[in-house]
Amino acid sequence: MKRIILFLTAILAGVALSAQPTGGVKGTVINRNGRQPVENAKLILMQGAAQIATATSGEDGTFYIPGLDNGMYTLVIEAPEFLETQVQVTVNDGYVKNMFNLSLTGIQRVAEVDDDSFAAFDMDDSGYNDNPTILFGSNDVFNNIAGYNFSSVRFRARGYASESQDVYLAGIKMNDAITGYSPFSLWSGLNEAMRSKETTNGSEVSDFAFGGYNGVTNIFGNATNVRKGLRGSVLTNSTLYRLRLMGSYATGLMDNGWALAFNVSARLGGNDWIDGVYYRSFAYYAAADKVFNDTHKLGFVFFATPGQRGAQNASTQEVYDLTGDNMYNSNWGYQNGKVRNARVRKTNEPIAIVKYDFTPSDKFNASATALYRFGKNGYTALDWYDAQDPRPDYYRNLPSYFYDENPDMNRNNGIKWGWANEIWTHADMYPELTHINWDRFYHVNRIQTDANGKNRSKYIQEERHVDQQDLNLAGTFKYRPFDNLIVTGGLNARINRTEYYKQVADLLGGDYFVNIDNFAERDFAATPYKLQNDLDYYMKHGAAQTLVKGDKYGYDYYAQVRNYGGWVNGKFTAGNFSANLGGRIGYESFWREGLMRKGLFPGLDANGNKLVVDGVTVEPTYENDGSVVTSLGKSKVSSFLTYAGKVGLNYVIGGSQRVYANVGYFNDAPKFNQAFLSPRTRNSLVDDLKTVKTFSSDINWQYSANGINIRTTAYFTTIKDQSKVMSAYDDLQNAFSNFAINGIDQRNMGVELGFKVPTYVVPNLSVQGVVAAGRYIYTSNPTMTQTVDNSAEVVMENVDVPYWKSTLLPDGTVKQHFVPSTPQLAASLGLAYNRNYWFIDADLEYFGESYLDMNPLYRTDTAVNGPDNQITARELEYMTEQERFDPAFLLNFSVGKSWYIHYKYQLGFSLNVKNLLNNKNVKTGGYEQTRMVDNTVSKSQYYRFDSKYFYMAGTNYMLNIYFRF
Amino acid sequence: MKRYIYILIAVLLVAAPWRADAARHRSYVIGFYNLENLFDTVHDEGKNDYQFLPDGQNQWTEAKYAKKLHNMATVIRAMKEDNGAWHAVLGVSEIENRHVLEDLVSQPEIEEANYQIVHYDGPDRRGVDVALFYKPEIFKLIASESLPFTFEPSRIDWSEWTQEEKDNFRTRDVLMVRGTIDGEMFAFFVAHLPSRLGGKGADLRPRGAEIIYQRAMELQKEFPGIKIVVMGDMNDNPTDVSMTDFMRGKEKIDEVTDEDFFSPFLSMLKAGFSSLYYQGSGNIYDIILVNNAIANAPKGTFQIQPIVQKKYYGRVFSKPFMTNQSGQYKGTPFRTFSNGAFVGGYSDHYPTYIVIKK
Repeated sequence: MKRIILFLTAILAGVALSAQPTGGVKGTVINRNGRQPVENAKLILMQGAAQIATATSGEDGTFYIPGLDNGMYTLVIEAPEFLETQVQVTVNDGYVKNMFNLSLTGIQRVAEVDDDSFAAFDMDDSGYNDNPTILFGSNDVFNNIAGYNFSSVRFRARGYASESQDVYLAGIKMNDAITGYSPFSLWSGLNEAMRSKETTNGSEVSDFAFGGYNGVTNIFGNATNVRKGLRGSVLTNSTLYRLRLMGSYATGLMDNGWALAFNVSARLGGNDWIDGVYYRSFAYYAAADKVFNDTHKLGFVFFATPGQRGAQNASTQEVYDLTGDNMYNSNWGYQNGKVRNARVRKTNEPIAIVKYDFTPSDKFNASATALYRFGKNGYTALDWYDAQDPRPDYYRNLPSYFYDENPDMNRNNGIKWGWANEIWTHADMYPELTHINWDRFYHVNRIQTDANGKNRSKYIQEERHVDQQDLNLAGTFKYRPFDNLIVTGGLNARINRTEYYKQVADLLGGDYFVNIDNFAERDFAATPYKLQNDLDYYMKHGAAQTLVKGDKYGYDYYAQVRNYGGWVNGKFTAGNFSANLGGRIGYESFWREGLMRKGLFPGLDANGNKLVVDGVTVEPTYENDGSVVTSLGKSKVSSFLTYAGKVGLNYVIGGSQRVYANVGYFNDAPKFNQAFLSPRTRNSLVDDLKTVKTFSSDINWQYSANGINIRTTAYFTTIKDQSKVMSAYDDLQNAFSNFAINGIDQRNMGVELGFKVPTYVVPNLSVQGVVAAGRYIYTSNPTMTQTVDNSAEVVMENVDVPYWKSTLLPDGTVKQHFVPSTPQLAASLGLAYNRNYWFIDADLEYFGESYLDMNPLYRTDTAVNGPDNQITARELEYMTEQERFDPAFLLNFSVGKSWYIHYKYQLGFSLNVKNLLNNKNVKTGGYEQTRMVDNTVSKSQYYRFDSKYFYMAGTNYMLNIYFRF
Repeated sequence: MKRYIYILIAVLLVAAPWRADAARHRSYVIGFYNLENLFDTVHDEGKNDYQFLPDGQNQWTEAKYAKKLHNMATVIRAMKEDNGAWHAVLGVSEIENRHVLEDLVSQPEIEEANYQIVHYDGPDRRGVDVALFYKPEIFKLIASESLPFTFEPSRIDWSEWTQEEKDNFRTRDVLMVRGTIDGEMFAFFVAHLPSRLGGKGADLRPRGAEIIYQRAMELQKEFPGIKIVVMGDMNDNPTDVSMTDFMRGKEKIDEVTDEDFFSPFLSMLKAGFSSLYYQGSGNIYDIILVNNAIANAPKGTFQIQPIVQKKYYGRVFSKPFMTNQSGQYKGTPFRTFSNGAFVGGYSDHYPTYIVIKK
């Protein structure tokens, strides 16, 4: 029995022993002041009022209390000369809780309540004058909605030309040096790398740039700003390309001070709407940042988007109506049964950036950037010699060329009209006539056999090159000497040399092409040197160059551009009021540098003597100022002093509102492409080039709180002394002509409203909308100078364009003409739902008051008066009228969702469906042909050529699926 | 004449220190700061701190942890420089454990404040807790408790919740610390109410407020005249129902009764002040409320003071160094992590505080 009891006791003891709790608490008691261990501190472990255990810290301050059940305990630590300290300890899951260091505070250090314990609010007059810090800029509701929804109709905010929007990359202004165009295509396909950006509106000044009157966007582009992690996405859409594959990887800033980022993509395939338009574009990006001591950052970026894409062409309404397709594209045709586009953009323009940031304190930072852009930018087109214009929708191929019900047009060939009408109304059955007939080009080119048995191509594909070498340097600083003053400023320099030339891209089955000017040949066939595109070659070899694939021909010149400038801006804040004042000054110059001596404008030889060609002395022609007209060598340098000033006032009203106003004045240089009469042929400059003077002003009210965002703006802007040069075939001169227009003034005024307001009825559902109502009109009648490529003669010199801004009809009504190519009235109203990583947007949009771009020729007395030089009311109204596009309603829908998987991976999609109403009659742009019908019966009036248009696609979608980890 | 001037000067000289003494009321700063994930670099058994380990997603190394501690201490120090005094009481949230609190109060920037720590390990799955720092020479700790999140008793309709969902729901406890300042009884609540992410969150924050309010009313009954300060990251604005209805936070001080709280950040939010930004909109989730015994304090006892523009009873503390000065997030708090990458900033919240004076 005893043995049994002993045995049982042993078992019970064993059970008890095995049930001994494994939990515990350990740590080190230290002196807060000096971090030295506290020896012999007494540790009392309590649970509620019950004392569970005690311990004493060792020589090294450590203690260990084992055998604790799971639960919450209070550890009281007592040591002489130290404050008694209580620590709450939780023992979980049988683990020994490690409290690491438990620090004790010496009693003498807290013996007295010293002055540092009392806040400085003792005197009645103290306190803070803090101000609300509402973020008005970053979440502009108007731009968020208009920027996305209005892009499909080529909406331009406030009616400003897209060139007026400044786009910066890493602090460098990237707008094209020659044209001013915004440069987004340089990095298209690198969405992840270029996602991080900062934007300002209107004439607000950014930290990186002084900017103009149409906002500044600065894309950071450096490795640190690319979102960390590995990302991949697959995108398909129905209007541009079938497939986009994109991947990116970024490390973020690593402990070793480096950040690395990579992004690659491919965009491939055609689309549902426009035949011939396709992408075969690739993109790559690599960047590294290195941070030294948190103060210095050195960044390197290199990227490019090599590839090609087929382009779309505008056609006349006659063609669209006959084919029954407003998306008809005349640029392509079948070659051996395969679609081939004649107009292909081929680009590979790499960009390299080195950037240094200096951040010695939070009060001052500065940066310096060097950016170099280089490479090739080509755009193919058909060229032909001794043949009719091979484009399928050439006006002589259309029914209207053979028959017109107006007898004055003298088009009475009903039979040919019938044939043409049959062909164009059954376009699919006659692709060889309604599209480019590549097979015919090859056939024709192969039978042009010369004496040497070689075939001289009649039709070729040329590639027009605009190859830039663009070096930019910029430095900026930001200095905050006081909390209420911020000074920013910068210096910038740009050296651009752009080579314009064309080269033979494809001989289309022939063996060679000849470097002569076929327009010149028609007029000067008897004077061979005049036909030469490259006279020096002709003089050396006695004949024009025979060209093979890859040879430069036609024209070859440099556009040389130099810009230097500096700016400074101060922003001062006092209470709810802030103001900024800034200025910019610059020096801009450009010139042309001809690389080929053209036969029509040979100028003088290297020694300043008249040339002798084929034994005949060539008499040069002269500019107005007496200088020799020449195609080779350096032109006169045009230089301009530019300047601008801005003032902004901002007042924050309590209750999340502010009112602010901006005024700016800008004196900007004209661009290279507005300055030369015929840059392909000669150095002649437009007379009396003027700077463009812009005054802009706006006043705004903004509200932002509790999910409600509203902005409303009224603006008034005048832009004066604009100029442009356009080129077209002129039927009156029977020559390729250049029209230089000077002194275009415009006035843009209007109101903008954007809002997003919760519905309150349905949680997470908001109503959002935009209204942009403007009136953008011409306010001057410019002057026009017309020249032809074939001679230095000036056809029209500084003639008035009296019907440009408006037409006064005999009945007294004034028909105003408008700044074209954007809806002057645009509105959107929609619903946005956002919850639990879902978003759903549906928006109904209205666009109206959009006008067609005007050509100046139709607004001259010559055109209005007609061949008889007699003006009639009918002619006046007919010739000067500006087309207004029909208004349009569109419905757009977006939905998206993302999922987090294990807090680590993110999977998501977005689907955007545009134009759900499948409206296929929305004109998005176009132009008037600068041509007139002059061979009429009555010889009393001219007729306009039909205008050409672009249309928007019907219902189209974009689906993006992405994965991030 | 000169004699009179000398006499006047003498009188002024004698009077000046006396005047200063008379004006030397006792003013104390009481505030709250969301520390945006103050984690150490070692794994705590049972805690979901895997993102914050050297080999975790955030590559949370000693160097980053040291920088984070330095940054947090810098802000606390900057408030001291601005106010001329250390916070008497400072509530914090988004801290991993007591270890990081020990490390923080030992930072050289703030070590001299001798902050004592009140902290309980909470049940939150993410493993972040709230805690309270106090200066021992000012606040005499009597008791503390960790109030768990429960679903009862409540006037909120929980019918959409299954018992299983309720059982599985975990969030941070509310910390209550009671003690005396200058002989007056105080209770401080520190909360970090459930976040806005996820589906059924809308009723959780009102419930959190209800728990605090119920306990506060009990304390008022138990300790008549007790002064109560409720602070925390409420994940709601002072205008939201959790604060206006369930906490009974009133905008105007003169409409506060013994059953109400005064909510000083309510009028500040309306005026456009913000302690954090979400998708470009400003919010004040870092809210401090006081009971009537502080709002309309009996004469000669601690009362809340207007400190901003002589009319606002709270302050959102922001300095340029705590704020993004450029980039797409310009004007918002310069945080520790942005888009998943360590950017070395401070917190996505600005601290808030009030001042009491007697």
